[in-house]
Amino acid sequence: MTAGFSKDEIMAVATSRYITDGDTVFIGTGLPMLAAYLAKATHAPNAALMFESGVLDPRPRSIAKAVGDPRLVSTARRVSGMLDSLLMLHGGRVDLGVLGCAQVDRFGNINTTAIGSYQKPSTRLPGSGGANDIASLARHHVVVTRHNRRTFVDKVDYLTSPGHLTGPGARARAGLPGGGPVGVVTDLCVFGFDPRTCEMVLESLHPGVSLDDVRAATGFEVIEPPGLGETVAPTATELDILRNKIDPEGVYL
Amino acid sequence: MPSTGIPERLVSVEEAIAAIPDGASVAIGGHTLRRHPMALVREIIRQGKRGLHLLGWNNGIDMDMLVGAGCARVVETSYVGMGALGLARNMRRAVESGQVETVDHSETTAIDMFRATALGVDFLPNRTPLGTDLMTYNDGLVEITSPFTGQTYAAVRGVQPDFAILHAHTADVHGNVQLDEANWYDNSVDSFIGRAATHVIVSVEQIVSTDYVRSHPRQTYLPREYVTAVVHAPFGAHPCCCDARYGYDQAELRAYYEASKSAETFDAYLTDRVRSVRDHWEYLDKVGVAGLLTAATRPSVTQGAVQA
Repeated sequence: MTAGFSKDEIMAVATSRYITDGDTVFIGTGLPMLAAYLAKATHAPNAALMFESGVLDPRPRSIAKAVGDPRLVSTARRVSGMLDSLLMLHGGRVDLGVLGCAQVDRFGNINTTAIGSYQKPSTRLPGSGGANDIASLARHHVVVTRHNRRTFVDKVDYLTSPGHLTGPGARARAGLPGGGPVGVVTDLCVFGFDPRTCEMVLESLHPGVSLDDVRAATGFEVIEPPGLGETVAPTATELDILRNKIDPEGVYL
Repeated sequence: MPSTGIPERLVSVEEAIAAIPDGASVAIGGHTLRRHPMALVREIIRQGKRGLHLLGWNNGIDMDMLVGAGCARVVETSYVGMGALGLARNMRRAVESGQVETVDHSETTAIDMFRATALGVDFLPNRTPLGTDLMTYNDGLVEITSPFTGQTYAAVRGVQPDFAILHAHTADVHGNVQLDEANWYDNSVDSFIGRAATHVIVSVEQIVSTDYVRSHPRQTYLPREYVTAVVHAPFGAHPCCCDARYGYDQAELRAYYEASKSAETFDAYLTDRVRSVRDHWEYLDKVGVAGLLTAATRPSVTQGAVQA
């Protein structure tokens, strides 16, 4: 691992790059929130953050306090409720969601329900929560996860939240409105999705990470694409914002 | 105008919960670790209920505790977890050993199973579970086609639980149940749950006069038309938070999470916190005034609540 930044920091920075200025982004606690506030502090000042609690577009005086307790947000454009935040998703008003996973396959399908058989799993996980809703309804979403063979599987044991399902056209045939995943950010690399096959394709390796490292951690074939680059490292400015303004207590980082 | 003739519904926790038979379906209000009706949950355990079908939309310590106490046969919701603390360990053990059956939902299908009944219809269309294993294993989600556009939907079957248990802020003796103006709006789904069940039991922080209710009509979220029994249970959501009234009891939640790591340590927790105390009031004595008021006066509660 390259000195200068941690795995969480490069994951937060890589995730923040998916947020375009002006987007409405559905945000959960933890790393997605750091990524979102970082994006707003850098290239996406007009991005509107939507929290599952129903807070829309907060302008907290202290980001650190807001990250510590997302409810301490004053000056939001709207505070409504959890049902309303889901309505924003249903109405197609959410441009981007950020999701974690216990298992993910090459099409970005996610399992957060059960490892092994559904009726008698080897590991029972919490279940969808709002993840299925986000994956089904957001215009696009990004998956953020640690990278290992337990997680990156050939086929998820239970499909909780839809990626591209079985491939091109599958979401539309199933009747799903949202566009599906556009990227996967891990502590080793960044994946995009090939528009022709809807499968994960490697976009960049983090500094100090080799293709062999990624293959060793992935349960499906990882092809070396032409022009495979290195993930742009977090800049000094981004690290300063993350460490000193967003999460000075080191709650998440 | 006098209130004579309108039934009074205020009963003790014991009497309210005694109405629930083994094998009943019981819907539980609240979300993750927020405003679950924990005093009512603990009484269900004390009374040794068995074989319950639990329903909710996003659950945590409420369902995990009932599962760990052996009260549940089926768990139906979108989520059972302990939030930032980690997994719901009793739930995990019970499902992994085949003791408890699960019925999985997305958040919106979990909401819609109650909302359908609240609307007086037997299903509602939803697109979220399409193409996923939610459809495969949940027979309350069936693919249909719109008669107008041909669009594929999942029909979400409406549920009519035998009982609903909820926690709120104020109620009068007739069962007009209210939430404070300062509330997180987290639990708007409670009002659907309260409109879907046959018998609705609501514990509240405070019993108020009907005059108070009539002076604050916008706070009434479940009028008496829907409510079977009202229970006075201050700190009735403890250790969950309860909007602006009190925050999470972090120490108690951590102690619970620690205790849930094995069936033996959890049984000791249940003996200490549930079985050895006669009722909710003795439970509050056991937690202690210092513990309760620490939760009640945490800064995030007083500064962060939404004011209407």
